[in-house]
Amino acid sequence: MDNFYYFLLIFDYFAVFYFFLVNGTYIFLNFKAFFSIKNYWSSIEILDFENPFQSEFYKPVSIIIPAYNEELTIVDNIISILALKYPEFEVVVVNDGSKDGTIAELKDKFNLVESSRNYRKDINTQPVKMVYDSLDYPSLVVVDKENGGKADALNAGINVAQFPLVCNVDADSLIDDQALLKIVEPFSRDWRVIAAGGTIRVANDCDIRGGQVKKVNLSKKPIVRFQVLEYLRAFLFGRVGWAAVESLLIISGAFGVFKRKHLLKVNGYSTKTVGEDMELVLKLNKHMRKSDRDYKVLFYPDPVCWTQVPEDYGTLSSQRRRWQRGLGQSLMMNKELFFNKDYGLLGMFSYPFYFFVELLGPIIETLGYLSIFLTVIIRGGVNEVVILFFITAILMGVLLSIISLFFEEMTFHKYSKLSDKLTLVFYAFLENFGYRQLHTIWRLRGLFDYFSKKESWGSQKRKRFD
Amino acid sequence: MLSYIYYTAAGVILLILLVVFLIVFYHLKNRKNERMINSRREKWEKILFQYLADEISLEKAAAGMNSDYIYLYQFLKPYIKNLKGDNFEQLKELTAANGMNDYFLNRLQTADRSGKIRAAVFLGKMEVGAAVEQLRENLNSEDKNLQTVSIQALADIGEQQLFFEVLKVMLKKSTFTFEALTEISIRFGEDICPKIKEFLEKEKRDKRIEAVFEVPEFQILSLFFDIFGYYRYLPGLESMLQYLDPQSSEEVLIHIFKALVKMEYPIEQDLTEFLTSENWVIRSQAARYLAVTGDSKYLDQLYELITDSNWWVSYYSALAVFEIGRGEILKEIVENDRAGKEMSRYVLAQNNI
Repeated sequence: MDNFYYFLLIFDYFAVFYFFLVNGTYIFLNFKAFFSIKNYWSSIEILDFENPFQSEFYKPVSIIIPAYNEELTIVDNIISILALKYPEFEVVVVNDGSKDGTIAELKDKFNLVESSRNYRKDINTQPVKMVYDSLDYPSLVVVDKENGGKADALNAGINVAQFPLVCNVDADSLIDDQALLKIVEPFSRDWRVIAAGGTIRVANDCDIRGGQVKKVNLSKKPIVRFQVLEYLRAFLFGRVGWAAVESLLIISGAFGVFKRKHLLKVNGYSTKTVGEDMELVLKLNKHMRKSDRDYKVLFYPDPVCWTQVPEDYGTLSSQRRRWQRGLGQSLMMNKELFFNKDYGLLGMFSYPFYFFVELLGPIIETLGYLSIFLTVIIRGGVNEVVILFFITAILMGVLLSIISLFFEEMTFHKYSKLSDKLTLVFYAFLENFGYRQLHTIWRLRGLFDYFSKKESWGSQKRKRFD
Repeated sequence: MLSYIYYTAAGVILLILLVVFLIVFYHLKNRKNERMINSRREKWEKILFQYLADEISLEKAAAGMNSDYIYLYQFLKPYIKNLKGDNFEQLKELTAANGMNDYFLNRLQTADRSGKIRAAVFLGKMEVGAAVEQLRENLNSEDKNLQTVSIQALADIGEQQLFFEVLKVMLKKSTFTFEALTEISIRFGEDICPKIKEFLEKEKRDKRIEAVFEVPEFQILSLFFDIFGYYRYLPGLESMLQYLDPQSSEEVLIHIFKALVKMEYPIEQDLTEFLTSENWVIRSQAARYLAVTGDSKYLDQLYELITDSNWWVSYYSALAVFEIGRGEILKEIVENDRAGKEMSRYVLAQNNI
């Protein structure tokens, strides 16, 4: 029994080391994110990002919306996107073999006729049944194809796209009216930019009119509030921080802009993973480093895309399992980056961090809980060090969450009420007691799904925005 | 070990308290600023409207708007952006009279990095000529943002004497895209066109275009022809058409056609070779140009190009056929279900037929 206890002790030391490594990295990312957001904020205060678009020298954009069983939201979503402030863009909606009335709804509302476009199969996809133009909206194109998954639908959209920039938007998301201008501006200013991502925020219970979020409200549902915190953390310090050290590994599939020619070079999105958004960015990084060309993958905290997050634990669990499985697949499909100095910080730091912390983190966290539990059984209680360490770990999580809230207040202050902010501070504490452990279990199951090679995307519930 | 963890936990608790305090502090500060700006906005708005409507004098308006320049700039931003013509000239007189120009001229030299950037943007937008020398110095700044806003400010001021100098900096030191380069260049104003024409004539003769800018010749020519096109500078046509030759760089040819589309000016040269070019962009731009000029000489070729595998070539060819005044050809393609019917229907629908 003593040997086992020593084993637990060794694990405790490992946990302390792991704790400092993870939190040290997060603090470092927070510092980088702080200066990056401050810099971004002062530059948008000063510079006029609309100016380049008032001339005729801008880059037109193809916005691709993959749609699968989206009959409830698709029309509102398209109308809101068609109303975006941008001088020249087209909207390519790809119906990925929906089983509901998505295509009928589109035909009915947009007066669709057979398109003048030839379908070029630059990237292989499932067969395309028909391409439609809208007689009411000349900039709208609808691709109706056999079901092949989100990545396949995006690839079909890339094939049809006419413009040099491609913007992917989820069918259940809304984009701020100036978000496209803001996210495309760096592509006009700097030739090195090949991809840029924007922030995703939670739209549940917000006041939405005409496809735009008019007032940001904090949902009363605890499950949504936890996710608000997660999204703030992930985007305001996670992605901003990684982008600041030029090691961003993911641009969310819900809102990202890419140069089309590079997407074609890497053969578009992979259909072999449910984490196709991350896999694409990894692949682009590999491709650009191999071709030895100067390039930039940017992340901006301000261009905002609003999304509906799950409001029940079943859907949320399924989503998080899928994300974890997608993470594992994406990392494994690009394993040559792992501690590869040819890829600089990306290979030596960012990729290993994602591997050990984001992918394997749930295992280590579960072992941590197990170790405490076993210590209690063997020794009849836990010593002060373990309790204190556990409390410190929780406090550190709280600190990281509320630093994101501080970034939010310092700059964008989308949540106008002080009570909302203080509620979120309270939830930053609360999430450590139950929600965090649940999340760990979902991620563990996601890992299990990955190892057992589960392939399904999982069902998603949709509801109208307003 | 225990004491270390105690210290760490205590440190983290203190940090949490500090961050919560900062969240509350920033919230209150932001609300206070909003209230203050709103109250000043009401006062400034009244003065500005009266001044622009000539109801009060420049002196009186300047006296009422001569403090809190940073907030005042925030307030004036939409007016600076949207006012044109006489109203904009009035606004320029106001910012000169109320001390704002002097304030920002001073900040351009003495402020911190973000202060200098803000000053450069303001002085450029208000076309303050006195800022030129300092902005010119900033062209060599190590700070890319300051360098960029200085380039833009010089363009906004329209300091044409510095056009070629700024262009060299943009080409050699910046990471601007071609679109950004052109957009900034045109801000210098139409009077740069004769200078470009003169430059082209002289340097082409001496074959020194590349040597002057130290970038490939096609980049410079493409940029210059875009500028000619934007300003519809017909005196530049001759210099431009010297390069309208199938042997020229494809990039240059594309920009020549784009410029010709904007100039809407008929030319004598035979375009057959361009309509059959292997480069689809050249084919599409040549067809687009014919859609603008409505030259019926190429009708047969355009008819064939309606079935081109490239959408843009097909589109501009069908459009050209329509613009030439032969819409019935498109109708006939649709009615007889011939190849190219989708595109013909698309162009007809676009023109409400």
